[in-house]
Amino acid sequence: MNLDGALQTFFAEAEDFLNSMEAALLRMDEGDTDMETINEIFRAAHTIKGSAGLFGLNDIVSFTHIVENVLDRARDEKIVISSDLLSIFLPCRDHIAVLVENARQEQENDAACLAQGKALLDSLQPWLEAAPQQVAANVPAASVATTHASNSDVETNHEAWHISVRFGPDLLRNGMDPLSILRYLRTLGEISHITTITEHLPAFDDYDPEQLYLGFEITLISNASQQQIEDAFMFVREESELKIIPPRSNIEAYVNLIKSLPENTQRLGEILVKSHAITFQELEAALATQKSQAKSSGAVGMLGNILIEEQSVPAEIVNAALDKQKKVSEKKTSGENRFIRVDAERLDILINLIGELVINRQRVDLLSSKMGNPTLIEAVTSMGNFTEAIRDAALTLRMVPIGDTFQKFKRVVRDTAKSIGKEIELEIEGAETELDRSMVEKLNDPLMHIVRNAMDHGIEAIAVRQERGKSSSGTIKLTARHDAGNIVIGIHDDGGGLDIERIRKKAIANGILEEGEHLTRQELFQLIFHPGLSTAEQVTNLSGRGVGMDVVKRNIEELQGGIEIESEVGVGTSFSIRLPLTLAIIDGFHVTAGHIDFIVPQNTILECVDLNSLMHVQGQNCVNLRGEQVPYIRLREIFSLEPKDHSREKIVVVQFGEKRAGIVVDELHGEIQTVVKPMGPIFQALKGIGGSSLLGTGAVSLILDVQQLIGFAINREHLRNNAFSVSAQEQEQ
Amino acid sequence: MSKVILVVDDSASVRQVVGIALRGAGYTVVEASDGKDALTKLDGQKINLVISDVNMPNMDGITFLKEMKTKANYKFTPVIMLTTEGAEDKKREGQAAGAKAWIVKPFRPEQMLQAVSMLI
Amino acid sequence: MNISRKKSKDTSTLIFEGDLTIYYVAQIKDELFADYEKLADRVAFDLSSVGEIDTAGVQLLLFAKKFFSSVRRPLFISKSNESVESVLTALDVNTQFAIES
Repeated sequence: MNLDGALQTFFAEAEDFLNSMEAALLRMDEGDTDMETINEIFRAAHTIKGSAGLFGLNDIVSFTHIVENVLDRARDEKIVISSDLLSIFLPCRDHIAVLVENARQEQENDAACLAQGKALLDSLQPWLEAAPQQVAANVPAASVATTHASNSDVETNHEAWHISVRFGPDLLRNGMDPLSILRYLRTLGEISHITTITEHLPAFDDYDPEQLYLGFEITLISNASQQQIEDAFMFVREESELKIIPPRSNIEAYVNLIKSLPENTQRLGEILVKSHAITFQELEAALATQKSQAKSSGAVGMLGNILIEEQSVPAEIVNAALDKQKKVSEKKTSGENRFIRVDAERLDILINLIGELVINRQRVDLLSSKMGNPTLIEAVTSMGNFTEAIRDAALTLRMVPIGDTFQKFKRVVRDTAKSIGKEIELEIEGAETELDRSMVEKLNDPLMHIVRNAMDHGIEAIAVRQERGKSSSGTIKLTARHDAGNIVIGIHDDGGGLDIERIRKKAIANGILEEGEHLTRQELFQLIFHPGLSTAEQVTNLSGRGVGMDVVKRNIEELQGGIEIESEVGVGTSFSIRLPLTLAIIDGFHVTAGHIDFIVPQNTILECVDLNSLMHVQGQNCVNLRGEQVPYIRLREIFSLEPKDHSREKIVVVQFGEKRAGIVVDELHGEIQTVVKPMGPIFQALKGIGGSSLLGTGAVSLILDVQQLIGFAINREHLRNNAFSVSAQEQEQ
Repeated sequence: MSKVILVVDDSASVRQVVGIALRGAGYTVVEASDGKDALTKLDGQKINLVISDVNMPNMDGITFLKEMKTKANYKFTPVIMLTTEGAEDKKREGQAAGAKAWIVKPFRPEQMLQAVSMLI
Repeated sequence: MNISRKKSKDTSTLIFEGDLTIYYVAQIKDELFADYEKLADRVAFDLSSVGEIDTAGVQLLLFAKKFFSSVRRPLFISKSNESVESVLTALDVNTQFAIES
C-alpha cells in the first residue's frame, strides 16, 4: 500500500491542527474558558493521534494519547484547565510539532527528544485519572489481528472447533449479516459442517421478516486461536449467545453445550454427531452420567456458570465487566436526574442581562415616583422586589460546592506523603459549602501551595512526631464554612507550628523588620507572606517549585479576600482564608471625585485622612504618613474631571500586596455592598477601572482597580525622581 | 460488482488512507468530510457500508447515523463507527442508534479491512 | 422486487425478480402469502432472476417452507442462479428446497 500521498496530507493537516491548537491554548491563557475552545484543542489532538496511527507513527500516537486523555477530562469537566496545566500544554503542543516534523524529515526521534516527551507526560500525571486500568473484558474491538499469530502456533493443527451461535433479534436491522461472518470465518479455516437452526421461526402472525430468528451450529477446521475465532463475532457478540468449544475438548463440554442451549436435546445431539464432533455412543454415555449426577446432587448448571466453568471466559473478567457496567449506569442516572449542564458563559450572559434589568428598574422607579400615580408606584415597587429576587437567584446559579476542589487534594496528599516518607491523613469538613465557580478555579493554586507547604514544612517526619509523643500519622484538615456573607476556608495541620521568634529574627536579618520594631502576633505571622522570607532550613522538592507564599497572598487578594494565620509551636498551624461568596458582589467604599461616583473595594483600604492634615513631600505627589512616604494620585486628574467647589480633598490610603498608595478624592460617603457589572468591551481598555455598579439612587458608579492605580502612583513618582536626578546632573555640568 | 463504502471523517488524511486501503481491497469508496456532507452523498447511490468518525464539525457521526436510519434506502446499511478509547457515553449513544461495530482510533488500515470483511 | 405467479397443472410457480434482501422482505412477505389458498397443491419458487440475497432473504425462504408445509403445500425451488445457490449452500439449507419426488 503506497501511502506517501496521504502522508503528505497528514503533515499539512497536522500543521493546521497544531496552529489552531496553539491559538486556542493562547486564548485560554488570556482567560477564555469556553467549552468550544477546549473542544477545539481536544479535536486537534484527537485527529492528529487518529491519523498518525494509520501511518504507524507510534511516537506521535503514544504521546498525543496522554495529552488527549487530559483534554478529554477537561471536556468532561472533571478537571479545570488551570494556568499550571496550560503551561504544560503549550510545550506538549510544541513537542507534538517536533515529533511530526521528525516524521516529515524521516528522522528517528532521538533519546533527548523522547526523554523530553517522557518528562512532559510525567508532569501531566496529576491531571490524569488514578490508575486507568482497562478491564480486560472491555478491550476495544479492533485491537486484534496483529497479536494472535503467536498464539495460534500453540494450537494444534487442523483441528475441529465447534461454534454454537444464536443471534440477537435486531442484528439484521442494524445492518449486520451473519453471512458476512461466515464468509469471514472461511478466511480462518474450512467450515466442514454447518447447521442452520430454524427452530425459532415463529408462526405466521408473529413472524417479522426483518427480525432474525436463526442460529448456527458450525464445525470449523482451523488452526486459528480461540481469540481469532471469537473476533469474527466481535460486532454481534454483545447481543448474541456464542459458545466456542476448542478442538479435543472433553466430552463434557459438548454435553454442557447441549444443556445450555434452548433447543431440543435430541436434535442438538444429532447435529453434533452428524458434524463428527462426538460419536453417538459418547453422547449417550455422557447424557446418562449427567442425568444420574444431577439426580444425586440436585444441581443443574446455569448458563453463566457453564460459561465460566468451561473457562471460555474467566470468572473475574465477567465480574469485572458486570461491575463496571453497573457503576457506569448508576453514575449516569444519578447525575442526569439532578443536574443539567449549562455553559458558564450563558450564565454570565444571564447575570449581565439581569444587571441591565436592575438598572432599568431604577429608572422606572424614578419616573413613576415623579408621576406620583400611587397605583403605578405600587406596581413598580412590587416589580422591583421580584427583580431583586431574580438577581439573587441568578447569582446562586454560579455557586458550586467546594467539595470537588477539596477532594482533589486527597490524591495530592496521598502521593506527596508517600514521596516524602511521611504519613499524612487529609480530613475534609464542609464540602457542601458553596461559592462562586470563578472563585473556585482561582482558589486551586493558592490552596495547593498551602497544602504542599503544610506537608513539607508543617507535618514533621515520623521519627520526630514519635519523639514528641504525637501519633506517627499527621493530619491536614480542609474546612469550609459561611460566615457573614463570606466563605472561610481553613487549612489546618497538626505539625510543628510556626516559631514566631525565628520569623522575627529572620525578618530582621533580611532587613524586612527593624530591630525593636513592635508587631502584633498576627503581623509577625503575616511576615511569612513577605517575598524572600522562608523559615525552612532545608529547601525540598516541594517548596522549590518557584512560587512563594507571597504569591499565595496576592492570589487571595485578587479574589478580594484575606488570609490569617494562627499557629502554636509543636501543636500545628491554621490558615484561614476569608473570601467573598462571589466576585459579583463586593463590599465597597463610596467616594466621589468631581461629580462622578467611585467605589473603592473595602478590603484594600487602610485608612482615610484629610489630605491637608498630612505633610507633603516637597515637589512630589507624595505625603508623609507617620514617617512613611506614600505616593498619591488625584482621581480628578487621571480621569480629567471638573473640579468641585469648596472641596476639602481626602486621601484614601490603599494597599495591594506590599504596595501602598493614596487615592485623592473630593468626598467620602461610606460603606456599601454593591453588585459588580463587568465593563463593556469598549471600556475594557480603560485603565484604573475594574467594573461598574449601581448605587441605590440609580446612578452608575465606577469601581476602581486599586492594583492598577497603585502602579500608576508609584511609577509616576519613580519617573519624576529619575527626571529630577537627570536634570540635577545636567546642572552640575 | 464492487461494494460501495462511504467514508465520513473530517480528517483528509484519514479519508485518504482509509480510501487507499479499501480501494486496494477492491471496494468502491465515496468520501464525505462530515455528517452533513455524508447525508448529501446518500441520495440515490447504493451504499453497502458506512465508516464514520464520531467527533466532527457541522454534524457529528451519531446525528448522521440517526438521520441515515430515517431514510428508507439506507436504514439497514451497516455502520462502523470510529471512536476513541473511553468515549463510553458516545458509544452507548451510538449503539442505541444502531451502530454496533466500533473501531478504536488509532487503528491500522489492516484492522479496518478486517472489520469491514466481517460486515460485508 | 416483483413476484409473479404462474399456474400449471398441480404446481404454482412464483417468479422472483429483484433483490431478496432486508430492504424488501417486509414487502415480499405481504405479496408472497397473499391469497395463498389460490395456489396449487405444490409451490415452486423460481429464483433465477434474484439479484442479491442476504440472511433476511434466506430466512424468508425458510419461513415460507415452514408455512407452506403447515398448509400442506410442499415448497421447492424450481430454478435458481449462482448467487442464490451459493448462499443456500453456505448455510447448508439448499437440500431443504430440493424437489420432492
